[in-house]
Parts: sequence; C-alpha cells; structure tokens
Amino acid sequence: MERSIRLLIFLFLGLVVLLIPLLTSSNYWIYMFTLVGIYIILVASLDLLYGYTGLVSLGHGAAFGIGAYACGILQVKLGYSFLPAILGGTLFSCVFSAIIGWPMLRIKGRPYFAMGTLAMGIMVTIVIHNWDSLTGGVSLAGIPLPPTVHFLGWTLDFSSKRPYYYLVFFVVFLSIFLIHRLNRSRVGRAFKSIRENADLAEALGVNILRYKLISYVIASTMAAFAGGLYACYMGSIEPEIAGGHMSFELLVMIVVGGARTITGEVLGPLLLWFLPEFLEAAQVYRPLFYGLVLLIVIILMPSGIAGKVRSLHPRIAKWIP
Amino acid sequence: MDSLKPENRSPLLVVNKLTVSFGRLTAVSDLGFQVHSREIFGLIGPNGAGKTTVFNAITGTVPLSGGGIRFADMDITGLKPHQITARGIARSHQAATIFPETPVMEHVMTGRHCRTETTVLGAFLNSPFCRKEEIQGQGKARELLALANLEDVQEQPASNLTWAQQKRLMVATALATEPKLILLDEPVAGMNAEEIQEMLKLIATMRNQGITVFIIEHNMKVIMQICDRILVMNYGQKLTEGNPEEIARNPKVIEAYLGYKQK
Amino acid sequence: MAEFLQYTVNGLIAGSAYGLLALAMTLIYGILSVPNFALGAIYALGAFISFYVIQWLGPGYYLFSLIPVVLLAGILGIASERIVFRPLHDAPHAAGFIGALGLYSMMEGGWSVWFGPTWRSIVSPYNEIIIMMGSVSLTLQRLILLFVCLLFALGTYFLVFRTLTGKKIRASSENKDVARLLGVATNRMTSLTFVIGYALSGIGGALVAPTALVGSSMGLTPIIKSFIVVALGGLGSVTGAIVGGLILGLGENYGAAYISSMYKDIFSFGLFLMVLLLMPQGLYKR
Repeated sequence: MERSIRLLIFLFLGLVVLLIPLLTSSNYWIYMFTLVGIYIILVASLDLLYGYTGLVSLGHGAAFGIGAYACGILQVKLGYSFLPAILGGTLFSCVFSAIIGWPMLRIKGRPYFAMGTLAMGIMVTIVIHNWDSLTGGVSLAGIPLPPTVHFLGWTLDFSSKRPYYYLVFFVVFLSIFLIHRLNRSRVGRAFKSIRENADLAEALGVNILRYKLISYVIASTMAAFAGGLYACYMGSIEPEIAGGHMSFELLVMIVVGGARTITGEVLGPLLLWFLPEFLEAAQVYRPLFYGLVLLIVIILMPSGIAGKVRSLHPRIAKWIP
Repeated sequence: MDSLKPENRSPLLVVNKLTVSFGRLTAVSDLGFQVHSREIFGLIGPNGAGKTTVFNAITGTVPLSGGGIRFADMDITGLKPHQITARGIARSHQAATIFPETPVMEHVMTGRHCRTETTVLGAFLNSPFCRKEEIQGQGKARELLALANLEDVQEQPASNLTWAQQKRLMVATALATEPKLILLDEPVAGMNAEEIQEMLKLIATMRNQGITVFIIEHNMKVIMQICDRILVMNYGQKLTEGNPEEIARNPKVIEAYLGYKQK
Repeated sequence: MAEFLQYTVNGLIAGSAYGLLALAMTLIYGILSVPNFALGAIYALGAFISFYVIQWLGPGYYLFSLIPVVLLAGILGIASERIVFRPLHDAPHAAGFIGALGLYSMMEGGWSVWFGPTWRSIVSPYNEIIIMMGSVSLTLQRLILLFVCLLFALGTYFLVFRTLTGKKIRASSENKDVARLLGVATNRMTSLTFVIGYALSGIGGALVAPTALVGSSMGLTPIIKSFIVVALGGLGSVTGAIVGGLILGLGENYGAAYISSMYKDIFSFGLFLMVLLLMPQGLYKR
C-alpha cells in the first residue's frame, strides 16, 4: 500500500515537473526552476552527508565550486566538449574529496569536521581567486552550453531554455532515486547507524571511517556534477560559489526542509529560493533571512518542515517520503 | 555438565596478563583467564571491580596497557572494534545502547552489516546479489525478533520500547552479527521476574545454537543458575575462579561482597 | 634583523587580537561544548559601535566607545544564551553548533543591512601617532591594541583561576550536574561566561577596527582563526587560547613576510588542516 502511494506521488511530481516549462512561456520562470533543480541536487547530496550520516559539513559549496570550475576550465582552457568536461570535472572532484576527506574525517571530536570543511572551502575560494591564470581570477567566463544533440529523431537545442531544464530535472530525479536506493540498503543503514550511535555502530562491525568517507565522497561527487551543470548553464562562474556562504545556505535548506526526507530535500531549496524572490527582498537581506529562518527552525522544529508535518500523525507520514 | 565434556573444553577466548590503565588509574591489573567454547562463563565482583573494562578491552573499545587477548587461536590485541566483531565477538551493553530513531526491524538488520557485502554500486543498481542479501537479512532478523519476543514492536523506533525490550533488542542486534562469543553486560539489570525469564530463555537458545556466552551480572540467582564457571574480580584483579558451588562457598568472595570476614 | 623584529612585533599585535577572540571562544566552549561562531559577529559589532561613536562624538571619544561596546555585547550575550543556546543545550546532533551558525548569519546580515555593504575605515587619533622602539615602528593604536588585549587576557586569567567566581565557572564547565549539586548556580555561570566572552569579542573588534577596514563580514576570518587557535591550544584551555593566539599571529606574519603575503590567510587554515592530518587523536585535552 505504502509503495503504491509513493509511486503515485513520484509520478504526480514527475508530471508537474514535465509540465512547468510548457505552462509558461516566460524564460524567467524556466530559468528560476532550473536553478532550483540544481540546488535540489546539492541539497539532496548534502542530506546524505548531514541527514543520514550526521556530519555537519560547511564545505559542500566547495565540492560544487570545484566541480563547476573543473568543468569550466576543461572547456574554456583545454577545449574539451561538454560531456567529457562535466564527467572529468566530476571525477576530479571525486578524487579530491577522497584525498581531503580522509584526514578530516579521522579526527575525533565534534566540531573539527565542520570547521575543517569550512576552512577548506575558504581556502578553495582563495586559491581559485588568486590562481587567475587557470581560473580567470574574479570570474571564469565563456563556458559554452552543451552542443545540440540529435537523439532518436528529436533535436535538443540547448540554446533555448527548455531542454536544459529537462536535463537538470532528469539529473534531479536520478540523484534522488539513487540516494533513496542507497539509504534503503546496507550502506544506508551503516550511515544512519553512525549518526545515531557511532559507538554501537562500530560494535556491530561498521567501519566508521570508511563509511563516513564513502558518504562524503558520494555527496561531494554529486555536488560536483551539479556544479558542472551550473557552470554550463550560467556561462560564467565566480570563486564565491565555493565559499562558506554557499555551504551555509545549503545547510539551511536541508535543515529547514527536513533532513532525511525527500520532501525536505525538495522543499528546502524551493522555499528558500523562491521566498526571498517573492518578498522582493534585496540581496543584502539574504544572510539575515537565512540566519533567522535557521534559528527559528532549529529551536522550534529541529526536524524541519517535512519532519514536523510527518510527526503530526503516522498516516500523514506515509504520504510524505 | 556439558562443560566437563572434553570436546567442549577448548579455550575460545584466552586473556593473558591483561592490564588496562587510564592515566594513573589502573582499572584492570594482570588479569588472566580462559573462556571455553560453548560454555556460559560468568564474571562477578563488586561495583568498580573492573568488569566492564574487561569487556571493553576484549571488544577493542579501550586500549590495553599490558597483556594480550587471543580469540579462536588468533591474536586480537589492538584490533579495532569493528574488526573484532567481524571475527565473531559480539556484545550487549549495560546501559541502553540503541539507535533511538531506528525501527526495531531495521535495528536488528543493522547488526547484519559485517556478515553482508553489498557495496555502494550494488545498492545503486539494486543488483540481484543486493536483493538476495536483503531478503536473507530480513529472514534472519525476523527469526531473531521472534526469539527475543519483539515481533509486536518491530515497526516502532527503538526509543519507544520498554527497558526490558530495549535490552532484548540489544541482544538480538548483537546476535545478528552471528557471533561465536557474545558478551552480555548485566543483561537482566532492572528487570522483574517475568522479564528475567524472557532473557534467560534467550540465553538458553544462544547456548543451544552453540554460541559461547560470557556474562557480567550482579543478580546472583541468575549467575548461579546458568553459569558453568565463574570468575570473581575485585579491585581490578582476579580474586578467584571456579564453578558455582565453589564460588558460593568461598570466604574471600563473601568478604569481597560484604566487606567483612564472615565468622 | 631589524625587519625580523618588526615582523615579530606585528605578529604579537595581530596575535593578541586573535588571542582575545580565542579566549572568548574557549571560555564559552568550556561551558557549553559549542564553538560559538556568533562571536565573529560581535567582533564586527564592536567595530561598528566604535565607528558610530566616533562619527557622532568625534575621534577623541575612541576609548570611551569601549563602554557601549561592552554593554551591548553583554546584553547580546545574555540574550543569545537564553534564547538560542539554552534550549539547544540538550538537543542532539550538533544543534547548538547549527544555532551558532544561524546566529552569526543573522547578526552579520543585520549589520550589513544597517551598516551597508561598503567597507569603511575608522579615524582614530591614535592611528596618527607613530612610536619608534629601536628600529621597530608601530602606531600608538596598535600598541594600545596589544596592551589592552594583554590586559584583558590577564584579567580573564585572573578571574578564571584566582577568584571564587572563576572556580564556579570552571566547575560548571567540567561537570554541570555535579557543580549544581555543590550549590553552583550553573545557569548564572553560563550567562556570566557569555557576557565575558561577548564583551571580549566586542572589545577585540573595536581595538582592531582602526588598524583595518570595517565591514559586516570582518569577523568571519578572525572567528575561524580563533577556532583554530582554540583547537590547537586545547578546547577550553585559557592559557592555550592566549598563547595559541600569539603563536598564530607570529606565524602568519613570518609566513607573509618570508613566503607570500597573498596567501596569508591560507597559512592558518593550512596549518590547521595539517595538524588535523598529523594528530587525528585530537590535540591536547583541557
């Protein structure tokens, strides 16, 4: 019974996503939703790390930024085309996160990982900013869109907004699907056990360091792929996307949306992206808004909006994945 | 008694000159003993005697300051806890050590971790191997839940359970790791007579399945009833060792517990 | 050689500012087990208050501005302890740390709205006066910075280790429940620690302000560095914070001078990451 409800919800949402670009001819909305989609990939992957494995990371933006820059540099400076560039960038980030994650995850003690990832994120932005021969310094511009693809009789011309939207949301659905699969498996149980009681997990045979690292690398790799998508969409990127503010915003999104729920992974970015837009707030109010929202949620409903709604009644919980 | 049969006498766990110190505090000093295969071995002693520390040393949770531990003829000194569990030693804790938000069924399935091998890739693809392991795991978990009388609560998060249920859950989860030796730290503490019987049933089943049981307890009735042999500790050292009758009559044991010499 | 002395003095001065912030952080960490990120925003606030006092009353009132800094910082300390940290104290899974992040962002955002996005500089009379000690030159402002920081550091050290109140604070840090059983009003001690910590941070910001630019995010890098200092010196250790701050200041200045000034900030972060790499068991205990 539960499974068919979930399938229904998925199909419904899939339909909604499919229809949005067709219901509006405004490029603005398609652009907005495409960006939200990229954020959903980022937040879902952060949920893997924070929500399931319990690791507070302030470096998720860095994974995103590295993926974006790697993809951009491979295209702009080295002349690769879209597919090898985004895959190469993702691979680079994957290896980088494995190398940097191992020492950071080894230290025992609560705040070290969070601060370590923050420090790393800031270092990455500084390096990107200063190594301007490679990264273009203040900004890296001229990143091309994917080339036109001819596929089964259809032509995907990415210079119009719609095909890229569908590309992004294809990746969104794929990511959420994979993360969901992972969390229902032995690997996911290992992640959750680390978060809830690491000592017990170890006593049950879970290699804590290894699984923390696996969680970190998968999350960072997904974020890097999202970075590649972002880079090619925006055409130009700045070092700030790898920094603390970005990482912080992602963390706020998953906390507010509700950790360990697909609903939260989608709701967080949706809400926190569109609300400031609706309120027509100037950019300057963003940190204030994000900080306030985070405080309210963490004090009053720490399991986020999705978590709070689920806890109201077990029957409701069945409908909120 | 079973333990007297020669074929059951092989030492499964050999602890040799074990010393555990925390800074200047010595919790266990020069302790040596053996646990034989398929027996129920008890560890008793006044509070603070170092009993839980012995368990912690065996499971690799605390480092040894001296001595060594061998299990199934292999040196396990200095191994990490998850490696020791993989070798076949499981443990339940004195305090309720559970995954509070995890439903009971999933809780026990988590114990299957070291006996399964599905990788990330397998999970992503939901490969046949992955599915097979899941089904097997669920089957084994259901068996254990039935054994531990937890079937009724299998969907509840572990924190919702009663104290006795949580203790049985700890044991069931530990059993999911398919241990050869299980360390039970005060398994019946805080239980009423009925709950104690439930736990004893569980322990009897373990014994029947060939699992060696090493139990710390303060409940003397239980210890005397189920143990084949008993080790008595005081002030971090071995006081004496023997079968229940010998221990019950030993004046040094009585003195240690009561604090004075019996006339 | 003369240059080396100059760098050393510069390093000690920068280090004393770090030390003050690290001291604030280590006191609060000691009693709460949470690295209070929000102190970075209080640091910036201290600078802003100084800025406005000077704007309204004139440069002569610079030292006077420390008084409103302490008052406001203290009030914010009590408020944030009551509203944010006390409810989160028993919450699981790093809720306190996340609360601190939220608080920092909210305050930094608030200052940014109030103060504006541009970085400005403070005119302090002491900036103009240059003192020469042998071959080493420094502005009076920076000498005052050094002096006041050391004064407060010693004062805090004295408070924590030589007074009854300090003993109560240390007891509450070590074991709240036992302290309470012994009659220590732990909640009051926590509030007091917050007041002291916030006041120190505000003063640190106000002192550093004339030597640097003032902006809403000026506290971000210092607070991260002060965490590094606290982590290296021992979470909760007062001496570790002070000494660590000085060492970091020195290291940064030597690094900037002899290696590369562009990557100055990277030095402390890199050091941190390297220490994490080489000493995974954690640095020393309190």
